[in-house]
Amino acid sequence: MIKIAITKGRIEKQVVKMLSKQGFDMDPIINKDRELLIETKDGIQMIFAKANDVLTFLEHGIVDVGFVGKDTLMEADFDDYYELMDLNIGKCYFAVAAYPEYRTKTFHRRKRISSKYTKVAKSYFASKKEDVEIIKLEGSVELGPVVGLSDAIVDIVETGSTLKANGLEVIEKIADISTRMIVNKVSLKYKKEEIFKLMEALKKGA
Amino acid sequence: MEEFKYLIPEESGIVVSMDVEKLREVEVNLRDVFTRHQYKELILPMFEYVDLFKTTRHQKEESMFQFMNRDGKRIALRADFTVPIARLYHNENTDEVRRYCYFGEVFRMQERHKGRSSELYQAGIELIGKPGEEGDQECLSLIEETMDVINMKDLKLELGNASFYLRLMELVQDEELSEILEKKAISEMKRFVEEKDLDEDLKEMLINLPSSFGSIDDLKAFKVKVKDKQLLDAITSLEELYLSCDKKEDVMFDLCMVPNQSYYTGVMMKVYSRYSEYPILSGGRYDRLMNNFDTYSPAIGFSYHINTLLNAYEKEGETND
Repeated sequence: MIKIAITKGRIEKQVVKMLSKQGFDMDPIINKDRELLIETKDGIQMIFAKANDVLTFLEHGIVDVGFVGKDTLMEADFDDYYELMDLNIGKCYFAVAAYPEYRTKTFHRRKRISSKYTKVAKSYFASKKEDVEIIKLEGSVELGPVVGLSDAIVDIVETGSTLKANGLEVIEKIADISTRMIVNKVSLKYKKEEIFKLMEALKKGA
Repeated sequence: MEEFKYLIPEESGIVVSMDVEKLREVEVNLRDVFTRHQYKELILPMFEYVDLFKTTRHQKEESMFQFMNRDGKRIALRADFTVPIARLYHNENTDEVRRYCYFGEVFRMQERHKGRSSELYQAGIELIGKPGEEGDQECLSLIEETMDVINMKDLKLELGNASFYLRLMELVQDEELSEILEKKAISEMKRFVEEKDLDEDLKEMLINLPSSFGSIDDLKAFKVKVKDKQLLDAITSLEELYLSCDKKEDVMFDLCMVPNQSYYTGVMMKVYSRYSEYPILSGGRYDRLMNNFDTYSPAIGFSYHINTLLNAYEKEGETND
């Protein structure tokens, strides 16, 4: 039996669709009500959780496999897992965004950057050898520049329409994001065959 | 602040819940094996200079418990056993074979609220001065003997080779490969290989590398794809070690194993239990560590992660109930 944790919402829907296309029994999941743990006929046990918690369950050996966005992996402080597969779904990217003036403006103080992803923001500016002040916001990060809290933001960009609606634009792309299949290191050693079978199915289901 | 007398700091979490009786039983059994093979038990200092761990094993600043001593030098709680033992060997000013064993804690600061312990109980050995295959075999047979006394079902001994990794890095010359190997990132490896200007044989081999781990048959099947002489030698040496193992059915291989210390040079070992999400043992050959003390001496060692092992016993018990 393999135990899987899936990020609730869009990733859950896409992965379940891919697996059901390949003949996996996904009905109990498609028809689920509010249960958080479901077992299928193929001997798969699935739990549904928030992205960061998927990683926590995997770290503690509660699940063998996790489906989670690269954004979550990049922001997390835990990295002792196998990242077997890029599912090539949920594609978007991390970027620095601001008002167009940001490009040419000279700052006589530390730049202020607001982001939900403080680790990503910090390491990006550190890699550019730029010292900035990072301010954590939990959501609607675009508000930062709009209300004058920050000079720029680091956030996930999908279509860019939210940025545009607020007069902001992408200044620089940081990294690509997509959904990844991650595996607990010890689990893979004991369940190679089952886990590879799942991976093959996802490859075909894409 | 009155309420703090009821609480235990997060750093010490796991110690109070340790099954001491089981811990002592494991310790007695391991000590019995170690001393039977003339491994001399050491008790090492709890306080060391921060520099000792920083310069030799690049221990991260933030992972050490530090304070400043009267001379203004930074002191850390012991973060590792291998380095202090290497120093001890150096101080003995010998080039003979020495066998040491130890039981005790190392301290490494962990992230908050992650359920990880900062106080790690280890039991292990260092075999210094015995080079190459002969030393490797002694060490492996000692591991196999300890696996018997650990007495847990379905244990697996996994072997990797740092010289395989080092040669790969020499051939490919790109740090990114290290991360891909460590993560067995099959998709990333494809992208990486496509973007690189490499020999076709090497490309083909790299693409297969992340999924090549497993039994001796998996290793042999992968070997066919390897053309480079040094990489082949690294695989052959693992095959030879395999032949000297007693319980061949419990031995696995992983050529993607990335040495977590720059001083590793040869075979690397891990022992897994199906009841633990982390290896219960890790170790390897580290012929380069002594360079830090301006001497050369081949060495190999391993340690059991006793906290992890005790958790595994607990889980095994629950599963069997």
